[in-house]
Amino acid sequence: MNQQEFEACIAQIRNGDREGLRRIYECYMSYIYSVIYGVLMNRENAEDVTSDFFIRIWNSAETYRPGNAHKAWLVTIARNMALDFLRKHKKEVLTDDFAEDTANSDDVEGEVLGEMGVMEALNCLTEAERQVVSLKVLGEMTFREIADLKGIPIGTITWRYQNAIKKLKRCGYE
Amino acid sequence: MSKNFEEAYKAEVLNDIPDLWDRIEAGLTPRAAAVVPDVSEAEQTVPVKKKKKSLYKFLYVAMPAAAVVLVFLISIPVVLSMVAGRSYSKDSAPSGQKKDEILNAVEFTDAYEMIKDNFVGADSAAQEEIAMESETLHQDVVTDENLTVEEALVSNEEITSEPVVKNPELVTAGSEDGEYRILQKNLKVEVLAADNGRISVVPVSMEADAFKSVLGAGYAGCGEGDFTFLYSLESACEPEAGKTYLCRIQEEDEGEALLRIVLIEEVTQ
Repeated sequence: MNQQEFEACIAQIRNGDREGLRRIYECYMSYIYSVIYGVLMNRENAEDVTSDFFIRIWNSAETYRPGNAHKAWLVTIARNMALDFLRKHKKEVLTDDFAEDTANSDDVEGEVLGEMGVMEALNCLTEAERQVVSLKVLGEMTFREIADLKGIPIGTITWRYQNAIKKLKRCGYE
Repeated sequence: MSKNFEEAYKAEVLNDIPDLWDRIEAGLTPRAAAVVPDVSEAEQTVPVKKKKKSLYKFLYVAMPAAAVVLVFLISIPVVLSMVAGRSYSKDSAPSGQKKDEILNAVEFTDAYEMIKDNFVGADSAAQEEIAMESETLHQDVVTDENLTVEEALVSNEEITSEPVVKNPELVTAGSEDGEYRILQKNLKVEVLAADNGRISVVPVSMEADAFKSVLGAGYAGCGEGDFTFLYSLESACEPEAGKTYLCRIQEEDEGEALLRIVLIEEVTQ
């Protein structure tokens, strides 16, 4: 969807036409979902926030200013909503898509494990490394943004990410 | 063969996404009629933000600048008073009346020395007598309450230019009700000039215990009464002999008393 098509959809939404939102949904749903999932790392929560995201777009279409990069606008809203959700539910376990037992992560050290599924490879990472990788790859966040979100130094974030990349390489990923 | 993790991860995440459209559509509220993009409103919000930013920028710059100016303005009177005090002490002419007062103070010092020398071994009656004598001397020397430091300034030829009082003693004639309160050691005396500009903080050392019982510093309840002290100025900066100073005595954990003191110096013949 190019800029003109997106603005046409926004104009439809402003007129109360749901078809405009439907087209945005079909075009960007997977992308928005992956961004939100990258932050939350939980399918159910990601689905809830994704639904709320499109409702937000419907309600706040007026805030979009024509001429701006619409994809960046969408991603910014999606990420902020996911981060808000994360802050509100800080004490809850949000990463239940992964095995809680991360004992496998130690086995990766110095050992080439060969090819394995991406979820298996992610289970080789520690919880902290998994969060950094997810926020970086799916959430499309910078190291600085991740450091601010986690409240830890940026050096720690980059170190964790590099550690995770090393482990993933041993699992057959690059 | 290595695989691209990013692509594989995204593909895995997006593998079985449920269709959320029904949930989304259920949550949509009917919108009002066509809303024309209010360009003017959007444009109006920009200047407001700019105003806020400029205001904050102004505050960031103005507050430190105001603080610097304030400190500068506060320091000017202090510096001027110090400079004025020094020049005045050097250039001022003596007055005959104040000269006499200083001479009386010198006499009091001599008498005090005599009392001190004769005190050891005296009985209580003698102590009372000595106390009364010293009080009489004190009353002769006490400076008028309305006397300012400048008025009391005497540049006496008989008084050496070296202002430091050599005897580290604290002497007072006591309060009117006769109740003396013995100052403890290690008290600090803050000497104030006429304009209340602080000269220094000097420790006060006490006399021998027996001497304290008679001439103990009776500052309790004296408020701003006049007393004459001999005290050591270990680090005072240029105290002027013959000048009257306000003296604030402060204990470590108690209140403070404001006294008026006259610096007396031994006459070197």
